[in-house]
Amino acid sequence: MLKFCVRMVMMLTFAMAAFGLLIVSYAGKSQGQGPYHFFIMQAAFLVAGLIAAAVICRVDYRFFRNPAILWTLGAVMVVALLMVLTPGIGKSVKGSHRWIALGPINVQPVEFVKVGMVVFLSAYLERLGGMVNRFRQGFLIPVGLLGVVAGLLVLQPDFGGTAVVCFLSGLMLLMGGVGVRKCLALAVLGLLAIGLLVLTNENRMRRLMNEKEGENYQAQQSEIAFRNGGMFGVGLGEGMQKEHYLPECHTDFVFAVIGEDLGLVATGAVWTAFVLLLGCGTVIAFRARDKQGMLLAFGATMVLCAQGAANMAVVTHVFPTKGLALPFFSYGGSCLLASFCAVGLLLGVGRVTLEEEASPESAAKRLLSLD
Amino acid sequence: MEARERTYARRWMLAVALGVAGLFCVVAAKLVKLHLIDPSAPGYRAPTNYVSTYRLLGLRGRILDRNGVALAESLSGRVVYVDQNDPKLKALSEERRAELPLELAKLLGVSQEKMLDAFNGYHTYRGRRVTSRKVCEISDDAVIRELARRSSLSTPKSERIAGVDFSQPLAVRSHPNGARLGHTLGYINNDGVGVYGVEQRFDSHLSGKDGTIVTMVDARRREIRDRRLEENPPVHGDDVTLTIDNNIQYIIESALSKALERFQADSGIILVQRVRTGEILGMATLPGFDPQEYGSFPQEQWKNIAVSRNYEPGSVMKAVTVAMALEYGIITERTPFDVGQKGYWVYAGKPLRDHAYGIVHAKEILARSSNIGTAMIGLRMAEPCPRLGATKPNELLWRAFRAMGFGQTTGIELVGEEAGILRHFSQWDKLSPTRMPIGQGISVTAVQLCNAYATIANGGVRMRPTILKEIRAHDGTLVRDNPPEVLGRPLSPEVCRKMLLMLQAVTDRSQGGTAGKAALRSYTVAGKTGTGQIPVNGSYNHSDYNASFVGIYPASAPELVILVTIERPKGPYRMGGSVAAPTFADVAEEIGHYLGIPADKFPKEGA
Repeated sequence: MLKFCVRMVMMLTFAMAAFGLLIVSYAGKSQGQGPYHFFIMQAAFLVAGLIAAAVICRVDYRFFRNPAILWTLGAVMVVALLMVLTPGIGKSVKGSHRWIALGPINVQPVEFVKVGMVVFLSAYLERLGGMVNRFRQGFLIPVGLLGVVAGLLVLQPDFGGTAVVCFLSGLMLLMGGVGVRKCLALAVLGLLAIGLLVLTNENRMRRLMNEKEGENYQAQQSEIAFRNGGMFGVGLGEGMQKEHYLPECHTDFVFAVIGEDLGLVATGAVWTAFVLLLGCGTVIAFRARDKQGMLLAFGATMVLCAQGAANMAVVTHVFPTKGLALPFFSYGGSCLLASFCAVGLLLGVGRVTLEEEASPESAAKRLLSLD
Repeated sequence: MEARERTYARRWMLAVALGVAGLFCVVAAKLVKLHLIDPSAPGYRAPTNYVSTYRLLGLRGRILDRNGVALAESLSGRVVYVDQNDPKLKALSEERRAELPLELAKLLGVSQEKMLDAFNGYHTYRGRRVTSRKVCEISDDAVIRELARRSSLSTPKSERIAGVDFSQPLAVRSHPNGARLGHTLGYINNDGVGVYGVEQRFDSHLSGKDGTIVTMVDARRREIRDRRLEENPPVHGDDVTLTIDNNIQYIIESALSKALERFQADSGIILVQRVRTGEILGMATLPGFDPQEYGSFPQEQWKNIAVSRNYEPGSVMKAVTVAMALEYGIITERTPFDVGQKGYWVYAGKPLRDHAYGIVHAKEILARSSNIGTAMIGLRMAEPCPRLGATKPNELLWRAFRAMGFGQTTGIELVGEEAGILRHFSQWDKLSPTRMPIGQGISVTAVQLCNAYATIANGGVRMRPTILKEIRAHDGTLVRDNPPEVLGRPLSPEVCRKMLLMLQAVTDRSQGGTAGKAALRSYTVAGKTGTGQIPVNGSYNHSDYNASFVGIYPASAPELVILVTIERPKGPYRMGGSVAAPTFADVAEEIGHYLGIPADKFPKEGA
């Protein structure tokens, strides 16, 4: 069962990444960047992602329990987010400071912070062990780090990213045994912060009160794309909504392009893939030998599937429009690379679990496995 | 790891995984709804705004003069509308909106009042308030580019133009010479159809056919190049080349306008015709008419009076009478006529006024413009002449006028040509054969009269007067040629030679000619004056005249015929010899040199 799930996750990843590359190269065609720009960029990150996943799945996740590694990871996340906000290093597009310019490519740290928080919190809570009930260690320190990270994200501003990071971190704390009451308090705190942010900004206030304006255009165009697609779609690359009728069609709304070009057959396939990924990831998490493995596997699954579900809900206009990428499909190197990292972590947990079940002693002794 | 912890974590994982799975299920339901249920619902319409049709202008052909100079041409331009409800207008500041109409008025060449009214005023149509209005048409590329640049959102608000729609393409008919030759050209009405003149006559050749591009467009209405659905190229109209020479037209129009002013006349015509081919080289009719602004001229001024006005020509007809009498052998040059010494002649109870010359010979009748002498010739021609097959009274005279082209259209390529008024001889009264030969009781058009003189100048070969040289398609291939066309040979060359000599005496004062003022410095002129009375309320008076002169030159080897008619001169000079003859001289000398016609008259030495 576990073996099947690990293989399934691998296959699903390959399939989705390949299909995503195909779709992105068509969806980006009309964005004025030349016919092959999106294909080349996405393909490069796909190769990088495959290498990253292959390396990460061979790292024993218990390696992250090392306090030096753990706190270095935490520090790197904070520093990366600070760099984004530093003039000269950070790069802003349309008023949002979300990128670090690295030569020809721009890195979006929030995508890695999502995975990083899962890695950090799973390892931290494992280290804590019985001290998880203490207020300072079990609540103040992790929530403090989360507060710093979330604060830096809000400053970008990136509310979608903040929400995902908070959701994932909250989930980690809840499963890690911090306690329902403390988590509820945290949720109340978060809601208060959101309320404060909305109230202090006229623009956000208007958007919340009157959903019909502006953003709804995107949702309506997205719905039109699905309707155009019907059962089998209008043909790959033939869909018209991508001709600027549907803004951001190659990034956040790529799912609508799949719907228009290839119909319910393709959107159904993508949907099935994500549901299967959710199932397999949950099984891997269930079977993990320790708390860290469980949290890490489930967190990684959530990075992929919760985001996927939220994106699909936005694109099909179940949720109001929010900027969220569809893992493996949306154009964006950082997101693709981070998604592969998540898959690598998930597979790593599965691999360690399988090895431990086969020979518990030998595997337990090795901290770093590079066989 | 304790089992309790594991169970706890697993429980939460299960709950969250199920929650996410639930969200996936909601998404699945919505997907099925969007993909399958919505499109099959009754009344569902797929979006149609992906396809757009662009109009490609099929330009109307040009009208060119004989040397290829454009007299009328169509340029692709735009219609400019002012739309008070343009949302971009509201984005501008109050001051900017106030100064915008004035700035646009200057840029588009429209009056400030019109522009201010378009921006601020409104009218109601069927109870609705109309706030969008056409202000002008522009064809200047620089202006269109300027409008496009300043309308773009990248232009700072302090310079930006808004509230103006100029997206609709339109062909603008341009007349580089303004009102010149306006009557002959005609105009284009609001439906793009030619009205009057060449524009109407050759409308089927001139008019182009618009093309279309049906194409998929993106959300910004820009064409997606590789998804063009249909392409119908426009067909541009044929170019019509006239026989008119733009320079000659300039010469005669400016001379005519000066003459009308000088002699305080109502209207005037100057025609320049090439003798050998019948080609009209110039056709001036004033008061003028600007085809581009036809609406601002009174409607009676839109017609071309050179072809569509019948008038009684007066004495210029005498040459026609004498020529035909010679041709039919009714008279010779030496036939004497006793016109008496009383100064009038009573026939059929009506007196005919004239100079008292006593005995005149046929060849002097024209030089002196003798009414009585010509009337006597007319009476002789009115007698039945079985020798020529004319068995009825008046028949031969009627046939003579018909043979010279009167009473029928000439076939010139202009719309609204009149045939003149020449009643059938069976309807003539007793006076007719004495009055028609001197140009009363018979109406002609200027083109008919000019052509009759051209026939005399051309050795008796009557050519069809023509204004068309050729028609070529937009790519230059010849569509229609227009070779000279012979309509008849009413006169023999011998008679014509004699006529030219007689008509030459008209411009020679030493031979008692009435048109000494028509004499030229470099050319001998054969011509005839005419002072036709204009019937007002059925009778003639002594103030309303048509002063005419028709001249052929060089008389020794005729090249051109020039007709000048001045209607109702009101100054001290009212006779053909004093009004039309000097106007003829003004233009004829200049045109002769312009065309390089060799001089046949040289100033006497020492003179």
